[in-house]
Amino acid sequence: MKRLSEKHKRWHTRHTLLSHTRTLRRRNHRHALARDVPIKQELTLPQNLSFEENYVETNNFFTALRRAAGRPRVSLKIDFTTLRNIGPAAALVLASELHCWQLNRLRGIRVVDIEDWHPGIAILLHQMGLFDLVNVVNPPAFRPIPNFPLHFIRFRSDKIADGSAATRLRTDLEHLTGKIPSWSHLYRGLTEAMTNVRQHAYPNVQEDDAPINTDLWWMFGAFEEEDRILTCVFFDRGVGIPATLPNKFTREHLASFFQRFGLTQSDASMIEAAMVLGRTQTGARHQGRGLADIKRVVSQMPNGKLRILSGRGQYSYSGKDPADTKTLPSSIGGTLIQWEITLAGEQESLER
Amino acid sequence: MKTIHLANDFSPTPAGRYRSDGPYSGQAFREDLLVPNLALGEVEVVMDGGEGYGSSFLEEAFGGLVRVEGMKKSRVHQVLRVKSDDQALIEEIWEYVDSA
Repeated sequence: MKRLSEKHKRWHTRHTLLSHTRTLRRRNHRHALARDVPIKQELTLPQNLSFEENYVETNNFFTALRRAAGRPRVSLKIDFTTLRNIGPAAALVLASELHCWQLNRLRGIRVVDIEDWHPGIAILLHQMGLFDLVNVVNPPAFRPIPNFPLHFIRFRSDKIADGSAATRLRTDLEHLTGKIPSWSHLYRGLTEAMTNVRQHAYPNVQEDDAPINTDLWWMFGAFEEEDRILTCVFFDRGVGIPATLPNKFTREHLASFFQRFGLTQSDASMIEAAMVLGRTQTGARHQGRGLADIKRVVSQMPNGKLRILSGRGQYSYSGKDPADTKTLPSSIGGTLIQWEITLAGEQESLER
Repeated sequence: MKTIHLANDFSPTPAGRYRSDGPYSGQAFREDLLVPNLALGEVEVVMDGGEGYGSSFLEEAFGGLVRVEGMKKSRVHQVLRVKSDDQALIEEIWEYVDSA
């Protein structure tokens, strides 16, 4: 075997050391990549984000958003360019999901391709304060659209029963609607909804589908100018009315209710039970009237509609019993309350 | 008789049942304003001027006089007056007292 010269020996040693060092660096870099580089995920909004008109696609989107937001190291991009219509209820749920996402992340949500958004959508989301709420890093500039028929009001969110938040909502709405007669009924419904959230919505249970569990409520308003329809929406990401009702009423009580009205037990019938039993219960007489307040808004304000979505149940009431109930294809992941009041009808009735 | 204007002396935006619900709850109104003044004599509570009153607030504030504070219903009727332009609100409050 040929002997290596001293020069070759030194070269060989240095080369071996360098090669080993590079190997170690590459290995460490891969480990660093595995630790720090986020997984990119993109979600695309459906064209029509509306629980009323497109429940399955809308709720599927929110379910996917919740799952993505709950995973660590996910860098999430949401494509808004496909969105053409957004209902008030879906808009509020969108804000709540993005707000929760933001609360659990250090970085702001980046808004991209704003120039490709439907201009009406961009305006509505701007009006509702979605960009402020979620601390968007590069807030875009908006050009108002003259005579745009739909207006959104800024979101509010909190943990406590805060009547002043409802007052601020009224002030914002009345800039568009003029004085809202019988506002005290809506105030009552909103503050009772806040109280229900505070007391019942977030027990110390981690929901499998809601890895980010914040004990907040969200509310906002919308006004459709042509038909003078005022919409107020309230949402929480809690366990839902069907889950909490068995804590308030005995099994026998509930069974008796279902039997009396010929109902099978479902999330929808649980909501109906909550609306009825809250007025007539024995036992803790002093509690359980909050849902009656929520329903009373529609009874007291003409041309009103109430819709409650909780778990997989939907309850709809237009001022006269019986209410309409329906089982939804999937859980909404909380409780959503929507009041819709036609102000033109109310003002006409006041003139009579 | 002592007069308490709920909107001015407590809050125009009351909400919630317990102190843990929020800053202007029924419990806070009862404990901080209503009970101390009832201890001194007759009280008139003026309900007008507020944004509105949820059932949780009303029941805890007024029904709580009987249920929590241990006052007899007859005594509450003797020493408490409720004044409002909304007769339905007055009836609701007395219903909470009488069913507590």
